[in-house]
Amino acid sequence: MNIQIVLYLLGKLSCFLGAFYTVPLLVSLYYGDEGKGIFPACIALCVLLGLLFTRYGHYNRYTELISNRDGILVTVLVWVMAAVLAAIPYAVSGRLDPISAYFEAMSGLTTVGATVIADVEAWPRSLLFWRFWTHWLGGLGIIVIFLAVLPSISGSAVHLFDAESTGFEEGKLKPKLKSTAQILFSIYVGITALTAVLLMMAGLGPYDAVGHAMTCIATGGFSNYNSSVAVFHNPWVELILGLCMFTAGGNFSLYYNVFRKGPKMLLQDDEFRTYTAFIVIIGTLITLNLYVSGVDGSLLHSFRVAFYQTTSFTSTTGTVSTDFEQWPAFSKLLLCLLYITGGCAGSTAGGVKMCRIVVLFRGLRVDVLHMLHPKTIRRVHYNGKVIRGKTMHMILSFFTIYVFTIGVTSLIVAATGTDVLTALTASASCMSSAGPGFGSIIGATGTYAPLPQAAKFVLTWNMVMGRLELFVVLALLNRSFWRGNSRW
Amino acid sequence: MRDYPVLRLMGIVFLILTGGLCPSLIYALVHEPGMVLPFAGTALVGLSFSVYALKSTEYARRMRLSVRGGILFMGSAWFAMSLLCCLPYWTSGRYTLLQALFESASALTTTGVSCIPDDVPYPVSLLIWHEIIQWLGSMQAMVLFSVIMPRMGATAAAIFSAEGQGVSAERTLPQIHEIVRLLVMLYVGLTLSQTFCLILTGLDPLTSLRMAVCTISSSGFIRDANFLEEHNSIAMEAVIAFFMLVTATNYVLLFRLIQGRFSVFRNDSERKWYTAIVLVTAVAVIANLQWNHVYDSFFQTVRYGLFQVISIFSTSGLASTDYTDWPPFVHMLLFYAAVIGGCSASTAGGIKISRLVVLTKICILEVRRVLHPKMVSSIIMSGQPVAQNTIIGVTRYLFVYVLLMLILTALYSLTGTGMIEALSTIVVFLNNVGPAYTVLGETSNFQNLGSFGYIVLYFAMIVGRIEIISFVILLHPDFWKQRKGW
Repeated sequence: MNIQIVLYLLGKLSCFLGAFYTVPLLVSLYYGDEGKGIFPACIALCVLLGLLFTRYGHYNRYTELISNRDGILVTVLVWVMAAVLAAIPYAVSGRLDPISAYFEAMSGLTTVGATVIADVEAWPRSLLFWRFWTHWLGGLGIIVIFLAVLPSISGSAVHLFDAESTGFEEGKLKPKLKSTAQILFSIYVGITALTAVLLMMAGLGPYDAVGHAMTCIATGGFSNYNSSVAVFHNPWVELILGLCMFTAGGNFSLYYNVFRKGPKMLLQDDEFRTYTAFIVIIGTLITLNLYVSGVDGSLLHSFRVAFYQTTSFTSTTGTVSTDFEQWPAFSKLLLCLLYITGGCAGSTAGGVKMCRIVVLFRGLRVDVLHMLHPKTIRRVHYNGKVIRGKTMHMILSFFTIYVFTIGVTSLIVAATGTDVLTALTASASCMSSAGPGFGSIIGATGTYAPLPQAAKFVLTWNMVMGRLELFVVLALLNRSFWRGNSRW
Repeated sequence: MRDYPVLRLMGIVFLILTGGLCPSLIYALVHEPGMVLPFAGTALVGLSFSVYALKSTEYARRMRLSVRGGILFMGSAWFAMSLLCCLPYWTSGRYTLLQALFESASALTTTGVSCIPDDVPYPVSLLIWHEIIQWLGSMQAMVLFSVIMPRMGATAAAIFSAEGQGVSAERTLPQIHEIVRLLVMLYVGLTLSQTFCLILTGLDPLTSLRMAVCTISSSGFIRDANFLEEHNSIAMEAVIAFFMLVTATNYVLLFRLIQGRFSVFRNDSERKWYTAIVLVTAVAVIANLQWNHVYDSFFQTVRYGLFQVISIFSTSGLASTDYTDWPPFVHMLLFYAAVIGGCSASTAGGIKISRLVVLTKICILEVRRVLHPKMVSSIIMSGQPVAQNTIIGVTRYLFVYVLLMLILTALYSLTGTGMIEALSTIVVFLNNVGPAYTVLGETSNFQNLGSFGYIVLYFAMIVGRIEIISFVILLHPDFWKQRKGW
């Protein structure tokens, strides 16, 4: 293990975080709230740490290659360290204890959007902006921004990117890592700006508009109101945010192709079609269920809240436009199903991802056919390509590990004395980076604040695992990872 | 219909069921004249069908069951059986048709939940019938799992560790007959020895037999739900727990043990993991109960904790105490125990230990592969590498299982239950655990479910018993097309 490389990269990260702290500092200066005392200190600390780390670390991108093991370690440490640094303002302001602050920061950076703040509205605006800002930064992945902004790493950073991106279309984005990251970055900024402008046109103030645009494009879920989006009572706002979340849950490299080759690419993409179909089917079912059970009044209103919530859960955003805790169990369980499916690969959404779900279903069909006709040879196709047996095996084992990890972590959360529903939905929610859970504690209007510290700490790992697609974090549990002097 | 062996098998099964009617019929003749007609009518229907089936397939006696036939039989036998078995309930006039189907499926699949409340009188002849079909149903599941499932290709069959030299597709018919005979004898023997042990603990012979039937079939259906609590006998609980533990192990393996082939028993991976998993869960449950001071004495904690863990792993679901107030961690563990279930080729339901072990090994292997991307690896069970097809099949099973569980839960919640209540109910029915529907701490009742609720639970029970995949195959349109080249 090359500690110097790890230190160097962490130092760079720290410096960049210091730079990112200037934006909330400006916001706090504008509003003149208590943040102007906190953020300069954060900047100083980050820069100091960064200089210290880069001073003792060393990395020459021309001569040194980041090994598999260092790549894994750096990827995980980057998230942990970023969350620790991002937690400082919450902790320093005295409003949260260290573990809760870490939870809030991790939830922001991994775009989960689960909050431990019971009364958001009592917080100063600059700190709330910092929450949005962590979402937005985390949104495309700190590491992707790292790559887009910091070309010095790109030469051998393939491992880092590997750890982040889903998908089985090997080598698609690798050759032009830097330029691809830049293109993704500009799409991301563009949609954020567009959403913010539209929201302002719909009647929101600039602060609310920018904040919610940032939270939705990152599929995060933080809001500066206790009752989230429900506070606006504005169907246009919900429509705009819904479209923004829908876009954010789709594959960004697909959007890049749409720009180049025209909108028919959207229709040709298996994943995007499934993603849309999922939202339409589940949204319709929930609408009908709400309407029939008479919870939400008129058909139109049922339609509105059902589709908003479905989009919010499928894209794993987790903003709330109505208190869905009052919904019938059928609707809530359908929302739970979305914890597993999640959004598309190549987006900021979490979950198993639609592309895997598509392949899982097609594989099941082929398997059944194979059992019926043992001598035929059939293949699973995805976007016109054949899925090889090895890939299928990887996808199936990913699903298995996903389910098992949720099972184990919810058991640990339950061991801290949390009730079963909360434990199950909290760990599934944090894993899929959705945010809200079900039950009286972490339901639509609740927060994670009443959970025991140990549960919060476990859930932060769920967030990292969900974000990094499990393997990278779980690899750390491997005994052989920590054994020295291997040559990988 | 070209599947004559299937029809023939169905005929045999119906004949056995008709035979199982005799005790109830005799009892009804002596004590409950009102119940004579339902039982006699059912016997007539069953007998005429089986005679027709056996006569018309006389020449197919030596034919072998095709792959499709095996699936067809696995998929349809339970539905057909539950149709026949529901007749006495339905014609007795105490149940609606759906309730009768629910009741008979609950017995046949050894789920063991009754939709009749405890305080409503239950005709004794029907009770006898219930107990007999749960005993027969459980036996059939175990035998089918040991004999037919391995013939359905690697995908559907679980990993048969004890099967190295056991039953396989290559075996000829007489050997299969022999194995079926031995498995049935083992099953009967276990029932009788448990009866004997229970008599030794001071129970009267008839109740002992009933308890033995309820335990060995892993059904857990007792008319008096507080039976164990009222008797409060440690010896009795110990005997029941022991036999639950035994009946949830692989019967082929038990048979090897009786044959004196200890090495097979000793080296069996599934047996080792089963012991380990049950032990670890029990220790965790006991530790958590003790930590939360649920019981005054450590002895009581061990007694209740151990019994409950074994009861749920064996999917019988008997309770020796009320555990709805136990801490959430314990509920969660018991919930997972219900999902996992016992060993393959046992009377228990659930995902089965062998599958769980393979799944766990896959997880560990794939995580290790992140570090060593070019690693060549295989999963070993009982000293034999598991085929790639089987691995794919097992992971696929988990996918279908999770999917089906979520969908059924959502559907069941339409009856107006809460989320956790729906989840625990579906898990309990899908894994045939039955009376343990309070596993997540929420009670439930099945007396006044709408017809929709009964249908969902009926499907959950049967789909769980036929191992899901054979059900998924039945859903495929190709299955119903007549094609050559099977």
